[in-house]
Formats: sequence, C-alpha cells, structure tokens
Amino acid sequence: MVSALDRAWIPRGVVRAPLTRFGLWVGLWLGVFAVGAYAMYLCLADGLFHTNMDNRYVFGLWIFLDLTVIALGAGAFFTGFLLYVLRKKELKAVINSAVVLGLICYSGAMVILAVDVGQPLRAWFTYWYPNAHSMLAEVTFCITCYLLVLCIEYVPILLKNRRLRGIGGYLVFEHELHKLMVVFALIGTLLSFFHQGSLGGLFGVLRGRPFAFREGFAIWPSTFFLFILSAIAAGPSFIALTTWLVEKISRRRLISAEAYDTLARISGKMLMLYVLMKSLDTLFWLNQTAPARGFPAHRFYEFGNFGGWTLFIEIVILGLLPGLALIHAPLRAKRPVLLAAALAACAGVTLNRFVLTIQTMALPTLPFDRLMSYWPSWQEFAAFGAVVAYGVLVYSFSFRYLTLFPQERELTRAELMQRSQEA
Amino acid sequence: MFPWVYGFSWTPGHVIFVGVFLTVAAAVAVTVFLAVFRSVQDFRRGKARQIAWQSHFHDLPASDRACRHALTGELKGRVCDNGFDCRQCSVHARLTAIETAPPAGRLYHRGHTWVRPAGDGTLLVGLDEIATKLLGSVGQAAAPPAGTVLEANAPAFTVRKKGAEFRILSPVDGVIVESHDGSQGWFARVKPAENYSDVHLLRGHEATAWFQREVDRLQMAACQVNGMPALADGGVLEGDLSEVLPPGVWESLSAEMLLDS
Repeated sequence: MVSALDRAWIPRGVVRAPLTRFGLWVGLWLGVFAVGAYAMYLCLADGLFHTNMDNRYVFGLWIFLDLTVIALGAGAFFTGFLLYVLRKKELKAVINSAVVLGLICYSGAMVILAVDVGQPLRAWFTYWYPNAHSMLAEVTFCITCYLLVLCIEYVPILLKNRRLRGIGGYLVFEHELHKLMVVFALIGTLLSFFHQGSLGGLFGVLRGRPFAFREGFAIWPSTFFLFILSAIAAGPSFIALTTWLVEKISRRRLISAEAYDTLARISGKMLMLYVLMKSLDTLFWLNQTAPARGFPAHRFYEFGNFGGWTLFIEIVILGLLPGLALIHAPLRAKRPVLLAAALAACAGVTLNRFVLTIQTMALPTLPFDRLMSYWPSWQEFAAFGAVVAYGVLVYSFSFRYLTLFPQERELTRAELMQRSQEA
Repeated sequence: MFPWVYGFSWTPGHVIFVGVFLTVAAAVAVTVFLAVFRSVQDFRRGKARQIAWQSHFHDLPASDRACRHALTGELKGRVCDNGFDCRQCSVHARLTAIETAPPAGRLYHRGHTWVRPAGDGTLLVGLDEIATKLLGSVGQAAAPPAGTVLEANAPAFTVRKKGAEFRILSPVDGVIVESHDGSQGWFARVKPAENYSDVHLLRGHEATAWFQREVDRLQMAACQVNGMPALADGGVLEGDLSEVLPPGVWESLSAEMLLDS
C-alpha cells in the first residue's frame, strides 16, 4: 500500500531505490540532523559560549563554511543566467538540480547564520534598522531576496511532480511562472552578483587586517570582484560533481556526456579568468598594497602552518591546473580528469574562503600579538552537520519525487534496454 | 529601512541602498502577481487544459515532438513547438496550401487515437493498433460516458494497467454521444463542436510515414528484448507488449508513445 503510494509519486520512466532502502537513508541523515539540531538549540538557548569563537576570533567554522556553500551554490544563478538569458539550451539538463542545490546552500547558510548571530527573536532588526554603510547589510538583504527567488524557482519544479501536476490549475500556474523565469534569472543574477561580491568585499575593506585588505575600484575592493568570479567558476564544477555523486549513489545515468562537457567548459573558462585576475591581484598586493601598509608580504606567511604554500596551492594546484584541464577538450572528455579538475576547482574556492576567514583571523595585527589558534567545538561541527543533513534530505526527496534531470528518463530506458539485451 | 524608521537619514548611501532593494522586492512581487493574474485569466478564458497539454508536451523528448512534415521528409529534423496543434501553425498552413483534398479514411492524432466520420454527422474515435498492442484491449479502459465534453489534446480518459496509469488524449473537440468498450474498434461516438476542424490530424501519406516511424520505434524497443518477434524478418507484433517488455521499459515507452510525460 505504502509502496504503491510511493511509486505513484515517483516520476514516470525512472528507477528509484526501494522504499525500505530510501527509509534507511533518510533515517541515517535524520539522526545526524537531530544531533545538530540539539547543538543549535544549545547555542541559541544558552549562547555562543558553546562554540570556541570569542571576541577576537569572531569568524570560525560556520562563517568559513557559509562562505564556501554560498560560493558553490552560485551554480544556481549562473546556470539560470546562461539558460534563460543567454539561451544555452544544453544546460536545461541540470537547471532543476542547480536550483535545488542553490536552495539548499542558501537556506542552509541562512540557518547557520541565524545560529551564529543569535537572538532569533530580534532577527528582523537586521532588516528594519540596516546599516547602509556595511557590506554585511547588503549581504543580508541580497541573500534573503535571493533565497526568496530560489524558493519561487523551486515552485515550478515542485508543481511538475507526477501527482501534483494533475491538480487543476497547478500546471497553469507553473506554465505562467515558467514563462516569467527570465525575470527571476535576471534578478537572481543581480542579487548574487552583489552578495557574492559583498562577502568578498567584507574582507577587502578590513584596514586593520593588512593580510586581507585590498585596494580596488570605487567603493569595492578587488576581493569583491574575485569572489564573484571564483563563485561562478566553481558553481558549474560543483553541479557536475554533485550530479556525478548522485549518479553513483543512485546507480543511474542522469545527464549526457555533452551536459558534463558544457559544465566543465564553462567552469574552465571562468576559472582561467579568475586565476588570471587573482594572480594580478596577488602580485599587486605583494608588491604594492602590503608594503605600503608597513608589512612586507612575506611576513604574513611566517606564522605557524600558514606558509606561502597556501598561496601556491590555491592559485596553481587548485586554480591553474584544473582550469587548464577543463578548457582542454580532449582532457575534459576523460571523465576522471573532468571530475578531478571539478573537485580541485571546488577545493580551490574552499581554500580561498578558508584563507580569508580563518587565516585572516589567526594572523597577529599588533606587535605584541601572537598567532591565534582555533579549533571548533563539537557543537559547531554538529550544527554544520545538521545543515549538511538537511541538504541531503531535501535533495534526496527532490530527487526521488521530482524531475531534477530531464534526460534521466531517456537514459534510463536506453540502459534498461541494453541490460535486457545483455541478459 | 524606511524614512520614518529610527536610524534612517537622507544620505545617498541610504537612498540608494533602500531604493535598490525595494525595487528588487517590488519586481519579485509584481512578477509573482503577474503569474497568478495570468493563470486566473487562462482559467477564465478556458485555456487551462490547453496549457496543461503544452506543459506536458514540452517535457517530451525532442524525438517525440517531430513535426509531421519532418516525418514525410518535407522539413528535415523540424521539431514541433506548437503542441501538435497544426490549426495554429503557419508552417503547416503554408505547406498544405498546395494539397487538393485529404485522402479518405482515418485521421490520426499523434497520441495514437484516430477519428473517422461515421456518416451521420458524428465522428468515431478509437485507439490505433499500436496503442492497443501497448495497453491491451480498450475494454480495460474506463471509456468516457456519454455527455463528456472532449477537447483536442486534452485528456479524454485514463487507462490503468499493471499499476501504471496513462491518459489518452482526445483527437477532437466535441461531446460524446455514445461510448463503447472498444470491441468494434472505437470507444466513443462524438458530436463535433461547432468550430470543429481536423486540420491538426495526420492523414494520407503523412499518417503512413508517422505510423511507420512509430512501428519502427516500437520494433527498436522490442528487438532489443530477447524473445520478441522482429518485423524486419516478416514477423508481426502479437499479444500484449506489457507482458513481454521489461516493466520499466514498457511503462516509459507506452507513456512516451501516448504523449504522456
């Protein structure tokens, strides 16, 4: 009975795991979520002393991972922009999955921010009394508005569910909403451009921390533009990577080789542009910005484990090399190379966010300061685990009951045919 | 946030910040409102079923949306973007302007239903041979009762088999005056609507070309499954295909051939 009901909600022509196996999978992640929810409750009810952050080390694991998931979630707006505005039709194969990933990344980041900021009953103060001169105010408004846009973009995917589409009017609304999707794609692009930028700009304007401080254009430091570029470079790679992961877990082919190639090509081009701009920016900072503020740049890399290797790995190993692999057609045609390069691109952005949050906070800023150390508490790990579990659960249910990959049906049928022929 | 809220000042920073975000919020709200308003308008104008079909149609693979003129080789590779409603299609109007008269006999809808004038002003509507092979006898279908209003491309009735459900699309606009279990080949006698037109239905050589392609497609699926007869060596498709094809393949193939996404 339950199995028949479950089957009736699964899109036609695709194969999903048996309900019991899906139940076990959901149960596992619900367990992780429950532990994290308890940790969040502790932080909200008692305060942030449950974390290992303090007045000096104000940005910890949560902000570092928030910045990372927001960067990786950029695939949603960038794919939407390429598909609806620039009409890159081949990206239709992944747009639904990109929207769900974006929704998970942004809503997860919002939840963890809410725990980090605390005082949830006063959350509306952020919107009602914004500090218009703070980059964070812009980030708050943009992320909130963009999350709303992502929710709206999720509605057509939801309404196309096999059962829901039969309810009178749902498909009509979906149709009309879909016709206006270009507006949401443009708004999403505008909002993402500014909040990705402002998240970078936030560090670039820290005059008291010369390791992060950068000069720039008008009111925007160079990190504003580098954050945007790195996010749109890593976004398509993250989509390719997650799609491959879902393919492995579900043991299904979900998108064609052409779709992988398009994602890799776009990611590679943007990554090369990012590496070029990042290299120029770093050279300018090493030779101009840092010395002008009284700090020879090499001194920043003399503390603890944060040596110059971080810079080399970030720009060359996790930037230039994957960029070259992704723009070179014969190389990216090899799936292991493509996936390794996509993974490296995502790791490069992660390292960049790590350097700007954790390393910036750790480095001394006054002559009598020492390198600060920080290791997150179990509550910090658990709270982020809850967000990961939430993401896995939302994606799992979406994948099971909604059409996230329009090509899956044809690919599944071809696969079933082939298997039958082999038998 | 607003001029009357504590902390606001009429500086360029505040005005630009608040102005931009209120504009964005307003754009989002207006766009959603527009979608709701248009949906209500669609309902009032009776376009709901047509739109639902368009939505289903665009979810179908491109190979299932081949233009009728692509089947006959007149327009190579053309994909229909009009929901198979050739009554509104300028390309079809241009290409058929030179035709003299439609051949007699059945007119086919791409969802594997057919229409034939009964001679008394009504039309007989039935499932073609391919649909019958895929779904079994029409008797298993809940044939729509007399008085049911049909709309071309809108669902006419639903067939349930082996836990799967398929909706059969109506080939014509009209009202059912008599329903039948399909034992005589048809499942409904329909009184056509006043503005009835059969321009969108396949006929003559294009129906033959389309039917051949559909048979080929079925054959392609069938010949890859062990134990299936092959038309290429003179065999014929016999029996119920739902019993022969793997369940996943049968359901997916049936749905696609019946244009049920």
